[in-house]
Amino acid sequence: MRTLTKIGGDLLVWCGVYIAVLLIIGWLGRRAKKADTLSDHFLAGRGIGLFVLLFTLFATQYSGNSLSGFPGQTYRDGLSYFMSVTFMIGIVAGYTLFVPRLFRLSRMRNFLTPNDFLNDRFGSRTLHLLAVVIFIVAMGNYMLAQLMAMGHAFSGLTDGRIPYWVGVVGGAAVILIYEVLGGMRAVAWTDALQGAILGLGLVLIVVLLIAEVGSPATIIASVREVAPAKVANPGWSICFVWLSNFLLLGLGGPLYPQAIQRIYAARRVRELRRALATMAFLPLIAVTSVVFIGVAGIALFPDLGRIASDKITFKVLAHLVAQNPLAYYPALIVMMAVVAAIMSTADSCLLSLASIFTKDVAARIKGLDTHQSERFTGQAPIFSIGIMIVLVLLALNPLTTLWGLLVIKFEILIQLSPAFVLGTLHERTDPRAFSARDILTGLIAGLCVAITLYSTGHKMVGGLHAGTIGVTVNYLLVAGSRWVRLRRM
Amino acid sequence: MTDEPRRHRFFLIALALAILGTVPFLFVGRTPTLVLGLPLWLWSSIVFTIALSIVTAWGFIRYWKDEDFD
Repeated sequence: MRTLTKIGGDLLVWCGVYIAVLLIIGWLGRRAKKADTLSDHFLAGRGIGLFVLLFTLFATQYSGNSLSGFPGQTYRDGLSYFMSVTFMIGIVAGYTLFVPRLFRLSRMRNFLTPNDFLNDRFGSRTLHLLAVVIFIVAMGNYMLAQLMAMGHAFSGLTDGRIPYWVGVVGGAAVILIYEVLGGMRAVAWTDALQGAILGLGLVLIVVLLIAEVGSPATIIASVREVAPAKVANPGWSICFVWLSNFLLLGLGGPLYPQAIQRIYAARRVRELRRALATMAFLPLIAVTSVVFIGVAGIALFPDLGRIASDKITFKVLAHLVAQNPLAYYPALIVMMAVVAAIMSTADSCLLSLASIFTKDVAARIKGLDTHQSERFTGQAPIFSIGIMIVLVLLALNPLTTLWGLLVIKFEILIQLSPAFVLGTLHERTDPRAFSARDILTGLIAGLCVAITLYSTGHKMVGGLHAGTIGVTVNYLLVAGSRWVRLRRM
Repeated sequence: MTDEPRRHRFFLIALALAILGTVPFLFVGRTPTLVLGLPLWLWSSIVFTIALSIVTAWGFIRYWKDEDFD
């Protein structure tokens, strides 16, 4: 009989096949290059169509954490973690606040990075510098987390046949090769493959759970018996956490540079509009599925501790395979989906980081304008390799103090929200437009509030995240600064 | 001609209502009730979450217009 122990060997073979396909896609991406320019490398020549756009947005939004972290959190919090479905839709809803205008401006003025918009709109060197630091810290942390997750995934899923360090170094090398070869085309095409595996894996596991364990109503009835508090009506504190999570993700999620660059890379408004409209429905299936896995985990394994509950997806899979040999291959696909989700997020982070270093740092230091920097392509692979080496070294030797500083990424990334949401409200020549000083006043205050609260141990105050409180102060100060300025005019 | 969802008050109100509806504020402190095996608060959140998806998609499809780049 096949068990999950045997799956490690088969997974090794399929991982090999999968990696070979990724490298072929990288090579195809290189062949498809149309020009030796930054926008061709980092934005696929601004020509991504509906199908690839949808899957690349999907795969980028769902990291390895979505497949293994969300079920673990559901296991610990119970049904109230259905909030994850709403906050993942919140990310898509957040796009409605600035993306239509941003896309138009990106076409008119050839934006490559999120900072291009900030420079074009506000023309402030201080804002540019702050935004670069925020983006690099947020993306660096996110990518580091993916590299470490990749090492753990390869090691855990193959029963240690692939050691942690080989998983980190090998996975990083594969991502680096296809990213340097094919740029955004390769990354988006591999995302399409990874998104398809992810979607298929999630649907399969839910079908198997319903067939083997029972309907949602049956599973919830079991949970009511073993852990009634996990299906009880949420209290006020959970409701505030729910709302705070929604604001944090809804305002911060769309600001990830890799998300903004996918907006820039869309071929036309029509395709981007359809892709985002479809994205609004995907969490209903994808995230509900992972919440369902967590709830089924409570019914199947009611007494797990925190660390063990983080592996609830694999425990549920092992249970399914033990119950029904037919579950073996779907379980294999789900495990591949975990690897795919991690790699698709890591490659997108790498591409965005390389573009920020190339355009916002190196080209700026050299004093190149938008037109001149388009030909500044020689630096891009050097930055990709450099970033990957630094992050791999950090993943192999995690520095606790550095890690402690970096985990606040979302709390600081969200502080750029007013710059994008309010910055796209008016033309820069409009006297009512928000000025760089308005935005900087709010940004600096928001950062101070969020970082101070976080570093003094107040990650949550009254159910609200430090970042949510910071961004509220931020928006209020931006509006206040503009009000005072307009009154003086 | 250009247009975007956030310029429409009706869209913003619908979005805000859908967001607030997803959070089960109204069920705090009440006796849990099951409907078809699921807690009533979960049904309520599911319905508003679907509404949130519909409002978001509708905002993009109905109100995002950009003839120059469409």
